[in-house]
Amino acid sequence: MRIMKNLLLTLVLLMFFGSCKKNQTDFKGQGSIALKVRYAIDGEGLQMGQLKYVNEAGNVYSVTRLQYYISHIALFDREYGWTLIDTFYLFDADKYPIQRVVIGNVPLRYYDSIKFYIGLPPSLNHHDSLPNTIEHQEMIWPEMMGGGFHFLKLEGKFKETDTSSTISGYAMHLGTNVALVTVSLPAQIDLTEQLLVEVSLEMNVNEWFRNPHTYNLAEKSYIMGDTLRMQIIARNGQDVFTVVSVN
Amino acid sequence: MVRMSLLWLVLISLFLVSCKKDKLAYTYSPTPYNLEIPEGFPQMPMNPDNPITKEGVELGKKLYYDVRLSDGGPQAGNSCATCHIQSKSFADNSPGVSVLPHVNLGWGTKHWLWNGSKQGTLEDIMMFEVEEFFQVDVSRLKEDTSYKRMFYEAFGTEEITSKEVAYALAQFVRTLISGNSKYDKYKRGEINLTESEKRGMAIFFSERGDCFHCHVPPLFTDFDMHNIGLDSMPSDPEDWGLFAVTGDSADIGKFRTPTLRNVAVTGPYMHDGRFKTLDEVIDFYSEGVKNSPTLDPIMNHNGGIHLNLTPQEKEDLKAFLLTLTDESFLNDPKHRPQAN
Repeated sequence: MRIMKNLLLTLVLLMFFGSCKKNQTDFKGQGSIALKVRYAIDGEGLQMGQLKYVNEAGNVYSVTRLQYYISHIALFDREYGWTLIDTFYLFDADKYPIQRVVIGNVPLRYYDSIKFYIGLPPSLNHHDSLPNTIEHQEMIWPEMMGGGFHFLKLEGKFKETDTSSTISGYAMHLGTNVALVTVSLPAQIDLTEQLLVEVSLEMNVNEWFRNPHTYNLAEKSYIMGDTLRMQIIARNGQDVFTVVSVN
Repeated sequence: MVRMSLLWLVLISLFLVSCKKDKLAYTYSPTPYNLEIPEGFPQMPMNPDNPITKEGVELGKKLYYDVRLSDGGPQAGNSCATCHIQSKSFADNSPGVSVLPHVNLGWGTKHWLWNGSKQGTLEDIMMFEVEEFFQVDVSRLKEDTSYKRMFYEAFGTEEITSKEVAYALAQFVRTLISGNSKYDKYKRGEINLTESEKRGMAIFFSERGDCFHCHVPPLFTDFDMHNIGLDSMPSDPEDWGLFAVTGDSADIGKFRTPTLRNVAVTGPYMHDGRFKTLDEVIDFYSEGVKNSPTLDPIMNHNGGIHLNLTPQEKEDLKAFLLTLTDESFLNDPKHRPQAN
C-alpha cells in the first residue's frame, strides 16, 4: 500500500513538474511589450525650454529638442538567451513628454533584461531603409557626412556656469555607425502570465553629460561631424535610461 | 411652310438636347486626381475628409485666380494669385511684400504663416484664408452658374459654403508640387552639377554651412519655427514672430522656415523682405547673425554664430541654391486657369 502511495505521489509530482516545464517551454502565441518613456533631470521632470538644469560640468542648460531612435530591441531569458525584436521607433520629447510604443510579436517567456540601441543598426542606417515620411526625412544625416540618420538630436541653450551672462546654443547630434549607443537594463518582464507588459523607462538627460566622461558644453557645443566627441556622448548615453517600473 | 416647321422642329430639338446636356453636367461622379509625387519625396499626408479629385482641383484653380473671392472683404480686388504668382514660385516680389511661396504645401502639417499663427492641416489654413483673410462672401460665387456646376461636380452639392471653397483651394494647392529642378535631375542621375554647384552643395549639407537641419531636403523646409538671428531684441511686433502668437518669451524671433525650392525667384527674403537678393541672405548667415537668448541652438556652430564664408564659398553656395529652380514648375500651364 505504501509502495502504491509512493508511486502515486511520484507520478503526481512528475506530472506537476512536467506541466511546469511545458508552461515554460511550449510557447503558444506571442505577446507585447509596451515601452513607456518619460524624461527627467536627476529625478526632476524635464520641462522643455527651461534654462535651469545643471550638468556635471556646472553648465546651466535647457533642452529645446530631444529626438532619437530606439531600435534593435532584444530581450534575455535564461533558457533561450537573447530574442531580437528587430524594429525601430522615433521618439520626440517635445511632442510627447511621455511616449508609449507597443512592441508586438514577443515570444511568451520570462525575461530578466532588455537591451536596445539609441540609434539605428547599420542595416537600417541608410537613407532608403526607413519609410519615406517627413519625420524620418528630418532625421536624415547627409550623405556627405556619412549618410544614414541622426540617432540623437539633443539641443538647447546653456551658460558655462551659473554666474555666466552669455547664453549660447548647443547641439549634441549623434549619427553614423561609430556613434551607436547600446543600452542594457535589468528588467523582470513576465510574459508567461499576461500578454501585455508595460515597461516604464526614464531618460535622465544629465547622464548624457556625466558618466564616464564629464562633458563641458563650453568646450564644444556642436559635435556633428566630430567623431571623437560623438563617441564620448555615445558612451555616456549607455546609462541615460533606467527602468522605473514593470507592470 | 414645311421648311419653316422643320426648322422649328430642329431648333426645339437642339434646345431640348442642350437642356439635357446641362442636366448631365451636374452629375456627381468625381474622378480621383493622380498626384505625381517626385522621386525621393515623402508620402504626402492626405485628408480623408477631402479626397483630391480632378473636379475639386479644377474648381480650386478657378477660385485661386478669381478676384471675386475677396469681393466686399478687406482684400477686395485680390485673388490668391495676386500675391502668389506662378512665375515667382507662387510667391511675390513686389516691394514690401514677402509671402511664403505656395509650393509643396501638401506636406505641411505643422505651422502656417510666417509667425506660425495657424496650425493644422492644409484644409485648416485654407479655411483661415477663406473666412478670415479674404472673408469670402459665398453669395457672390453663387451668382456664377459655372460655379454651381463645378461645386456640384466636386462635392455633390450646389450649396456653396466656406468649407467647400477652402477644400477646393486645398486640393488645388496640393497639386503645386515642385520637384524637377537641376538638383532633382542631379539626384536622379540625369545630369551633373558644375564644380561650383557641388562645392556649394557640400557647404549646404555639412557643418560648414549647416543649412540642411532646417532646410531639410527634398522639401528644403522643416515647416518648423526658428530664430535665425535677424534681430537681437526686436521692438517691432512684426519682428516678434511666434512670440506675438504665444506670448512665450522663448518664442521671440521665431519664424517659419520657408522652402528653398525656387529660392532664386522668391525674393525679397525673410518675413519682412529685408533682404532683396540671395547675396544679402548669404552675407547675413556669414557675418550678420545676431545673438539672443532665443537664437536657435543650431545657429551655434564651431564655437560661433557666423559662418564666416569666404567669397568663393559664398559664390558656391549661391550656385547651389540656384540649382533648386524648377523651370518646368514655374511655367507649367496646368497650374494656370486658361489651361483647362
